[in-house]
Amino acid sequence: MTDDPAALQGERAGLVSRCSAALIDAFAVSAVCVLALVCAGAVRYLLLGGPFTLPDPPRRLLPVIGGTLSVVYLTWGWVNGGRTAGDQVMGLRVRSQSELPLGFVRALIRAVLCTAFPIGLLWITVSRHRSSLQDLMVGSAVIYDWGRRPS
Amino acid sequence: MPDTLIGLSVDAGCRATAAVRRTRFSRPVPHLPAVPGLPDGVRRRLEAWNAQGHAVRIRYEHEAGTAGRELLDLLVGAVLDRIDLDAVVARVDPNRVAERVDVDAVVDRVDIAAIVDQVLQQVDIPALVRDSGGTMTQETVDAFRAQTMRADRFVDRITRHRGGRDRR
Repeated sequence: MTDDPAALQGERAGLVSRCSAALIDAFAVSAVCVLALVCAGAVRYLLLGGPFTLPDPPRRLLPVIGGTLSVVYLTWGWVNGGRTAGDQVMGLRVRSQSELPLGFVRALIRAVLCTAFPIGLLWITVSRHRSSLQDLMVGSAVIYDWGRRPS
Repeated sequence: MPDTLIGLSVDAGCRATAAVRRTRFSRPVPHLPAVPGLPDGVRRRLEAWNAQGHAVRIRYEHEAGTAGRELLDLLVGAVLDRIDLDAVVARVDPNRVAERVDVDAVVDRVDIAAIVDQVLQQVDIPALVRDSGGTMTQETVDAFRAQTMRADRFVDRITRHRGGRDRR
C-alpha cells in the first residue's frame, strides 16, 4: 500500500490521526470552557463590582458543563462540513458509511458517545474497517480528506 | 563690386529656396503682421520671403546645434583622454568634502516619511507576509498529516489486522 498522501485521500483514517484530532478537539473544548469562565467572571465584575475572580461552579456540575459544551461543539462541527477543528487540522472528515454527510441526529448521538465513551476509539485497532465503536453504532466513517490535492 | 553683391543675392536666394525644400517644418511659419492697404502682389512677395527666411533660420539653428554637440563631444573626449582621472581622484580628500557637507540640512530636505509611504504603497508587505506565512503553515500542516498517515499504517502493522485489503 502506498504512502502517498494524494493516493490515500478518501481512505479510512487510522488510530493516530483520529486520536490527534480528538486531542486537538479536547484542547479546543477546554479553551472554550476557560473562555466561558472568563466571560462569566467579567460580566459578574461589571454588574456587581468587587475584585475580578473566576466563577467557581460546583464540582459535580463541571463534567456536565464540559460534556455539554463538547457535545455541542462536536455536533456543530460534524453537521457543518463534517469537520471539527481537530479534523480540519488533521485533514479528516466524518461522513456516513454510505458516503453522505451525517445528519443532525446521528451527529448528536455520535457526539454524545464520543464524549461519554472516548475509549471506544481504540476499537479501530481491532476493526477490519478502521471503525471505532461510535462509528459502528451510528454507521459513520472517518476518512482522509485534506480538502484539496496534497502537494 | 556690384557683381559680387548680385552674386551674393543670387546665391542667398538659391540657398534659401533649397533650404525651404529640404526643411521639414515642425513649427508653422509665423504670419506677417497685417498691413492695411498693402497690395496683394507685395503681400504675397513678403510672405514668400518670410517663409524662405524662416526656413533658413530653422535649418541653420538645427545645423548649428548639431555641430555644437559634435564639437562638444570631441572636446570632452579629447580632454578626458588627456586627463588622468585616477590621479585627480587620488588628490581629492573625501574627508574634507564630507566635512563641508551639511548632512543634517540634506536630511531635513528629504521627506523620509513620504518616501517610506511610497515604498510601502508599491510593496504589498501584508500580502507578502500573508503568502509566505500561509505557505509555510500549510507545508507544516501537510507534513504533520503525512506523518500521522504513516503512523496510522505503522499501528496497523503492529496490530496485524491489515494487509492490502479494501478499507471501505
